[in-house]
Amino acid sequence: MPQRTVLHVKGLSTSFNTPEGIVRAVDGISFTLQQNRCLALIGESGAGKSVTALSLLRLVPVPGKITGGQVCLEDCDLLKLPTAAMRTIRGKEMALIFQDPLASFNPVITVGSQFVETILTHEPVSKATARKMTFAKLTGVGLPAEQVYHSYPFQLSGGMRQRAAIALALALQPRVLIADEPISFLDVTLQLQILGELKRQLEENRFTLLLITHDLAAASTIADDVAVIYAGRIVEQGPLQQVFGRPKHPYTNALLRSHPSFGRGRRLEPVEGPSPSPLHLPAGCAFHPRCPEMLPCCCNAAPELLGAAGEHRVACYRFNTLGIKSIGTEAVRA
Amino acid sequence: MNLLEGHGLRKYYHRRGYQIQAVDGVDISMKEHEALGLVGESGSGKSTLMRLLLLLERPSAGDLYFRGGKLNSGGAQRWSHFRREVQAVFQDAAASLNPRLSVGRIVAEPLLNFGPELGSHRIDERVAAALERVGLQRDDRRRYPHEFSGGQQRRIALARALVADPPLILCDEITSGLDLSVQAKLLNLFRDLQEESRAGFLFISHDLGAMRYLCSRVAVIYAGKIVEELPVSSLEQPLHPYTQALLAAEAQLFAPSEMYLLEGEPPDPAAYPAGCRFHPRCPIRMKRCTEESPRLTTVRVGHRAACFTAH
Repeated sequence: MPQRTVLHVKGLSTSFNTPEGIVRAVDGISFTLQQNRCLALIGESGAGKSVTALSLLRLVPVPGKITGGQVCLEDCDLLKLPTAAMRTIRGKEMALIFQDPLASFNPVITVGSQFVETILTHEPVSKATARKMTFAKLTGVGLPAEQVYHSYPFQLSGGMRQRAAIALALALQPRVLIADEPISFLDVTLQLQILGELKRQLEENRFTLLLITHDLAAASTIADDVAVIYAGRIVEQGPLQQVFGRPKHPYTNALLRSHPSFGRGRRLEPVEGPSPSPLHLPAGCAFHPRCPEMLPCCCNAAPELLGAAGEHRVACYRFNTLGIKSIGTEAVRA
Repeated sequence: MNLLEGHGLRKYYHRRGYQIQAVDGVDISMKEHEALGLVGESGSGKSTLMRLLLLLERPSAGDLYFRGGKLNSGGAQRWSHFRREVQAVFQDAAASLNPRLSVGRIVAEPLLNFGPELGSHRIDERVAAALERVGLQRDDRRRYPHEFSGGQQRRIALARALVADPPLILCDEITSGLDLSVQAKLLNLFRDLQEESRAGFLFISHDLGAMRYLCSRVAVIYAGKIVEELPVSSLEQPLHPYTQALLAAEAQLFAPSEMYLLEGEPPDPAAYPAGCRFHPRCPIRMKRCTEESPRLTTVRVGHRAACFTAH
C-alpha cells in the first residue's frame, strides 16, 4: 500500500516565556504522519510530548507561543490559518484524546448530547441524523449505544469512558487523531483493550494516529513508527522494530534498559543523573551530561537528526560522524 | 515461624444498603526476609488488604499473626508493639510526608516514637545514614518535602521506613506515576535493600514486570480474592487465566503481534458475579464456573491456584 502523508511537521518550535527565562519546550521538531499508520512520540515527563500535541492544534496555553516551523495538513499550513478557520479544523480534521477521559466530557451533560453537539457544530445535518450517527459511532467502539447515549460521564467506568472518548474523537472522521497518554489512567487489562480498539479503528478508518506516551510497551503494541523525544528534540526516529530492536541513541538504549521486561532478570540500567532543567538546558547535545558515550564534540553543538539505516534516523555524533554501527544491544534481545 | 500470616481475612464495607466485599477470604503468609508481590488491578482489594495488614483497619473476619503472635485480638499494647515492627511506604508519598516538617524530622519519626532512648546526636546520625542509603544527601535533612521531586519523595518515605530497621516493610505502588528511568533507579534501590537489610518486603502493585524484578513470590488478587500464588520462577507457566492475561499484557513490549484481549472490566465490588468472580471475563469458562466458586488449592509446591482447570 503506498503511503500517503497526511500531516507534515517541519521544524516546529514552541517556547514559554516565563519570569525565570525562556523555556524551549519544543525545539525544531520534524515528523510526518501517514494515513492508517501510527507514530508513537515517546519521552519522559517534561520532554515536550504534550506541548507538541497542543502545538499541532494551536492550543498552546499562555505564556507559550509557537515560534517557528510548519504544520501542514495535506497542503495547508495550519500555523498560517486565521483563528476562525483553525476552529473548523479542530475536532473536524484533527481530534484529540486526553489522558483523563473525564476531561474530554462535560460532567453535567449526557454523553449522547455531547456527541450530537459536536456533530451539529461541524456538519449540516439534522438532529435525528446526528443522533443516528452517534449510535453508530458508539456501537462501532463496542459500547452498548442506547445505555451510553443517555448516561452521564461519571456513570461510565474508566474503560467505557475512554472508548466513548475515542468514538467522540472519531465522530467526524478526522484525518488526524492525537492520543495523549490515552491509557495511563487505566488498568493493565483495560489498557490492552483500548489499544486494541485504537488499532482496529486505525485499520478500518482513514486517519493517522499520533500516540503520545511514556509507555514503551504501549508504543510497541500499536505503533508502526516511533520518535523518541528528549528535552524538546527528537533524538531518534524510525520504524518500531529498528528503533526498539537496534537502538542507536544512548538515550533510547537507556530507556529500553530501564524497562523490567527488557532482558529479563538482568539488572536495570537506567540513565544516570537527573533530567535537565528546561530553563538551563546543557549546551550542545542536551543529553551529554548523562550520556555514557559522550564525545568532546557533544558539548559544542547539538547533533542533527541524520539517517542511520533506511528510515531510521538518529541525532548523535557517535553515528553521524564516526559511523559506529551499534551499541551492542542485540545480545540482550537474544 | 512465619513473619506475617493472615487467615481468612475479610473486610466488608456497608454503604447505602450495599455490601462491598473489598477483601473476601484471603490467606497470606510471608517468611522472614522474603519479598512477596501482591498484584491486582484497581478495585481488586489490594490496598484494603494492605490496610488490614498494617492494622489500620480491623478485619471483618479472619486472624492476623505476626511471628506467631495473634494481632487482631488483645489490647492496644499488642498493636503498638506490632507497629514498631512494621513500616509502610504509601503510594502517594507526597501525602505521607508532613509538609511542615523538615526531611530530617520526618525520617527521625520512627526513632523518636519507638527507638531505644537514643540521644539526638545518634538519631541525627542514623537519619543521615538512612538518607544516604536511599541515594539522597546527608544535608537533605534540613530541606522540606516540597523541594523534592516525586521520585525523591518516595526515597524520603523509604528512608523513614528503613531508619528503625524493622523486620517488615509494606510498599504500595512504589513506581506508579514515575518516569521510566526514575522507576528503574527505584527498582534497583529496592533490590539492593532487600539484600542488605533484614526486612521482609510486601510489595503491592499493578505492575507484574516490576514484581518479577523485585520478588521471589507473587500473589495475584482479583475481586477481593487471591486467585493464584506462585514463585516467580514459575511465573511463565501460570495456571489461572487471569494471571495468563496479566502476563500477556506485560509481555507486549517485544511481542507486539500477539494480542491477548480480556473482555469486559473488573466487576463492581457491590455486586460480584456468582460462582467464580472471574467467569464473565474468562476465555475458558465452563458451566460449573457460573455456579461454584473454586477454592485456592495447592497444585505444586509453593503454587496455589483457584481455578477448576488448574491441576
